[in-house]
Amino acid sequence: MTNNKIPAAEDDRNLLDTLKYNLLRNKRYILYVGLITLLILLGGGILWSSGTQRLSANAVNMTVEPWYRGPEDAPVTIDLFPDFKCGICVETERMAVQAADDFKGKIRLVYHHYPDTRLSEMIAEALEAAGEQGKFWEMHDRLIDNTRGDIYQVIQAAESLGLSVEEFTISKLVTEAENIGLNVTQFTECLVSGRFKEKVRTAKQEAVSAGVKHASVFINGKEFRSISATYEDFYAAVNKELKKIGADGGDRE
Amino acid sequence: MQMVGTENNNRVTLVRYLGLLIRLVTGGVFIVSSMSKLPMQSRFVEVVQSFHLLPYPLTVAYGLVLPWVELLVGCYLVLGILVKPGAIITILMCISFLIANISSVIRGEYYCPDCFGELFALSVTQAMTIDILIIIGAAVLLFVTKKIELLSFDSWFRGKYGSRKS
Repeated sequence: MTNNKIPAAEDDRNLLDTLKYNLLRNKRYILYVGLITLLILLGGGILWSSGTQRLSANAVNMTVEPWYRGPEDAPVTIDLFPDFKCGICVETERMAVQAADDFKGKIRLVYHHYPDTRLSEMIAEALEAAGEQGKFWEMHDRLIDNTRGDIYQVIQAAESLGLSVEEFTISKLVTEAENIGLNVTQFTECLVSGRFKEKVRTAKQEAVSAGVKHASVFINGKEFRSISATYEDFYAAVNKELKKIGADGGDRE
Repeated sequence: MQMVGTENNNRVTLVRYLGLLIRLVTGGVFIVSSMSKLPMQSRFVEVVQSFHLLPYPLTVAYGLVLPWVELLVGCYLVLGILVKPGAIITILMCISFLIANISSVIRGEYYCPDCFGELFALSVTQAMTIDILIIIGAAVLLFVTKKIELLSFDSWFRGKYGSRKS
């Protein structure tokens, strides 16, 4: 009996030692790998934040006049550079327009063309055509209104159904032109003739020269990173700018 | 007997160098790819959405997480940390890229925009070739190299703390 117990006790001790040793070894491994992982993530974070764009001084030298909405002396300026074929861009446009409503008189929206594809170019031309008839913002708001399907949703629906995206988009543009009471003949003529194509392309080139690398929204010259952002985030970003000048818009309920 | 031993040694050396080469190349590709995507994550999410393969919330999650996973797996492979789990994740990522590229071919698209962010544009064929080569490389890491990694953190750690002294 005694002979049997002693080796067992030794085995237990050995097992305990081994467990302690392995635990210590694993702890050390986790510590080392954790530290390396932290360094990698830190590097990634620096890279990520380097992507936050700022509007350069060239932005004020743009020859193509952007579209404005809101008082000229508003403390917060939101520069919009949307590509309507991009869902996140349309979503952020909606946030900007809602913020302009919520912070009445404190926000100036500045719209610049930034189409990435021919289809987006056509939508930008349609906005210009509406602007020619004095209804740029009405058309803009219609295109981003998702209660009846925004322009992005229309494009997505056409793509997923395998239909002609261009035809679907034109149909949406013409419908909205009718809804806001535009002269549809004049509007369609603008689209067909491509009268605003050059203006839209020049605006895009100037935006690129001003440091805009991709479709985005800038709040007082600093990019709002819209990916997975909610309206609460957007509201907070605007409020932060207002707080800087002591014009707090209040917490959002 | 001695000749057999020498042949085995040569094979082991070859496998060690092959493993190192695969780790460095695959890890390097992932690091470059993540570096080009991280500063423009929203653009990358749009690219993921343009494939129409996942529902919207998943495209956002995939687009957000993928560049970070690429960065971590790439660095781990280069440093030789957790090589086998890294190889498994590599294979899974490349399979997802292959599916996306095949869907592009079916839709009649011939370019893979933003596969490497905005660094350089690849044709779908080139992108698919790279994916397949990486999958083969990762499979070699997984099944052939075993625990004989050259210049790796794990080997160094095993050498330093691996064998228990009595």
